Amino acid sequence: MANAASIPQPPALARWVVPAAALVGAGSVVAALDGAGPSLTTYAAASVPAHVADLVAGLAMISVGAVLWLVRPGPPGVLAVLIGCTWSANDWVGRQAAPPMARSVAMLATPFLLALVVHLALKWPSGRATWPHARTGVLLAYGVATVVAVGQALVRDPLFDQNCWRNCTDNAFLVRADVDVAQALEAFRLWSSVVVGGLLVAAVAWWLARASPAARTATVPVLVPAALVAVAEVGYAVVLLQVPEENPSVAPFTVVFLVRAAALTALALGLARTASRTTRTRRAVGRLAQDLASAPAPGLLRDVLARSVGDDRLEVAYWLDGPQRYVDAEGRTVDPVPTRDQAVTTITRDDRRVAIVVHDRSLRAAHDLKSEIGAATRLAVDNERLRAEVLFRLEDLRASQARVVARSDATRRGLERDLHDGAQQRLLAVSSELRLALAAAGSHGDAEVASLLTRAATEAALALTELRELAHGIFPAILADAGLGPALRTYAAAAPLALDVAHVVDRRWDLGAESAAYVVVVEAVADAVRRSASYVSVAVEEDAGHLVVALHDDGSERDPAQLVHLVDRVGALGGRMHAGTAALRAEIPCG
Amino acid sequence: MRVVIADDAVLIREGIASLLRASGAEVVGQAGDAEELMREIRRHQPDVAVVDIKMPPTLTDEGLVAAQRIREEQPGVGVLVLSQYLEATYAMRLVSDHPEKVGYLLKERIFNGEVLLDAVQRVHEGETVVDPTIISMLFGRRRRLDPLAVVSPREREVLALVAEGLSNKAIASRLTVTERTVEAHVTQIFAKLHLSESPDAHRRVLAVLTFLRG
Repeated sequence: MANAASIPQPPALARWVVPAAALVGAGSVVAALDGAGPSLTTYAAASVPAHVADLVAGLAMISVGAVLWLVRPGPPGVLAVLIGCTWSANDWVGRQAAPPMARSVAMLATPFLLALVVHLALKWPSGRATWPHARTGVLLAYGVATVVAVGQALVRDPLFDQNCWRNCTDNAFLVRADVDVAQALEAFRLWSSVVVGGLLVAAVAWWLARASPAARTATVPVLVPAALVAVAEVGYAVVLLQVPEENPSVAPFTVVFLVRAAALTALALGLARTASRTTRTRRAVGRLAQDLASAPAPGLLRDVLARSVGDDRLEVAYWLDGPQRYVDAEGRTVDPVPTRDQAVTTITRDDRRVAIVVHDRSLRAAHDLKSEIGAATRLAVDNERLRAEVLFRLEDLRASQARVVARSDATRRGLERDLHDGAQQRLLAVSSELRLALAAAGSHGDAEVASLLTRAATEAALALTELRELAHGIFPAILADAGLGPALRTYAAAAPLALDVAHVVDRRWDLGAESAAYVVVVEAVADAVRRSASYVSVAVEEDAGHLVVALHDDGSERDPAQLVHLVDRVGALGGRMHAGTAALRAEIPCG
Repeated sequence: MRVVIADDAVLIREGIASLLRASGAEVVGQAGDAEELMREIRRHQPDVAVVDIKMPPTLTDEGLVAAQRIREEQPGVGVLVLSQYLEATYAMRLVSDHPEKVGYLLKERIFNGEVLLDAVQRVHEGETVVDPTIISMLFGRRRRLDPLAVVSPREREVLALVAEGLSNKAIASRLTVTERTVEAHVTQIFAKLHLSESPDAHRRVLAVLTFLRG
């Protein structure tokens, strides 16, 4: 199993202290109820269902706490074990045969049940107080419980308690019996239960109401049962305020006890669910590390993290030091901007930024990320980042090639325009002037000058034709003006061999793609001529975002080396070339 | 014959004007862009407009667009488009919308007064004019299976003149044969090439151009 190395792990021995304590606690739970009979003044002794509910609640809490601690060492596991033990302490209190000291200690523990639940809920799941006033709330709950526990231990003599039921004989800590103070403390205990329980329910409701969906999903299994426990404890206190003499065979008491046990069991189940989820996440992350050898798909880390913290919107962005930018797992440039309910966790290595994770602001996601991105994930993060960087550089290179090609195309187009608008216009003007001069010479009967002017005019006409062909060769204006179809048809009219363009779709595409396709055809024709072909047929169509140019000819065997620059040109646009003996196929992205 | 000239280069405009004047035409207006051209045409109601294909602002095909507009708004005005492009595509675009009273001539013809005036004259008379260089380029195209193999050299000659936009009568005088002979040739050629013979002399230009390009 992969360890989460980024959170401090206790030493191996200390790690087993909590489970060992839990084992002792569980043993004492069973021992407390062993040999049931009239000497046992507990709910468990009153009925079989109560007995089962009592045992289940206590053992579930303790064992889940131990497992939780093993899976993720921290306060929640300890608290769960303590809650289970405190719950079961009531059974020791009511065990008449137990040593007085044991019963007295158990009595000292019981008032802390609600405080422990408050602690677990308010600090769930990070073990750090992140709710507003959580610290105050927890201290208040513990303070109240301490006052009650210590006060009653010092002044309450069970013998003088008219409402005593569980333990009417032993208090090893008694200093001075004071019935009035003891009664006042009991009233304080009940009322404070109502207040603290009510506050916890309110706090949970407030938290769930404003939590993001991801945070809510993650915390509901624990927070709702915790609130239920609080409600049950409030109910218990209310019943005791009405009927001070506790009696397990009276309906209200029986019902309240069963509800309390059920709520506690639900809390244990909620904790168990969290523990199992953490284990599954660990396994997934562990598998991720193992998958490194078999080259996992890019983005796997993001998927695993998103699943493990239950946040669909989670994004991982890798930082590239060179180009100073973030890229995703595919190497695409991204600009991770967290929304209002998102936070950013930075993954660093030797104080250098490696990646950031944009995730739900909920404390659970933040905490889990810190623990999940541990030693095992480190390899996955590095691997994905390296690959993202390679992909980014490849894309960067391709984009740079595409820019070079586009700039060269633009330059050629500009040259063609300059020739048309400049040199050609001037030559036309010269020709026109020559014709006028010729007419004038003719009317003056100057035959020698007329013959010279005629030769000059012929030369000018030839120059114009050559200039037009040159300009067309540099860049066919028709390509930009009318598109690939007309340009290829024009080219076919002057091609050095039979060029069949019947299967060229007449529509417009991106000029860069059209230019590349045009060059492919022209070069393929030149190649076909070299291989003594008698014809070339060309088909152009669009397929899945690609301009597909398929060429076929009857020439001799093709030498792929002759088409390297074509492969480069198409590749610069992110396209591909397939060259067979008689067939040539170019796939050029066209948006 | 009254003519309006449009070209953004003053030098060329003046050259064309002096050639046409020398040949006896009356140049009633000149324009540097399409908007000015439309104003001149509305004002002077000329017989023919001689329009450069490249005019501001994009210097691509404003002349073609203007030609189509003139033919739509002023059916009485013929349009001769002058172009540096040896492109059948543009010529076909011109004749496909309004086949009569339009012409597509390579710009280098402008220093040959006779050819230019002849083209202007033909457009004025309602004929279609397609530059012979474009036709010979289309005829010169190499093909795997030459669809023109079925026609005789004489028929080829006739077909080329049909493609240039000449009427039967003009072809007859060019080849010094009777108009009846030309008619017979044309019928024969169209049958051999599986072209539906259109009685309209203008439509048949487009049909032949399309066939030659296919």
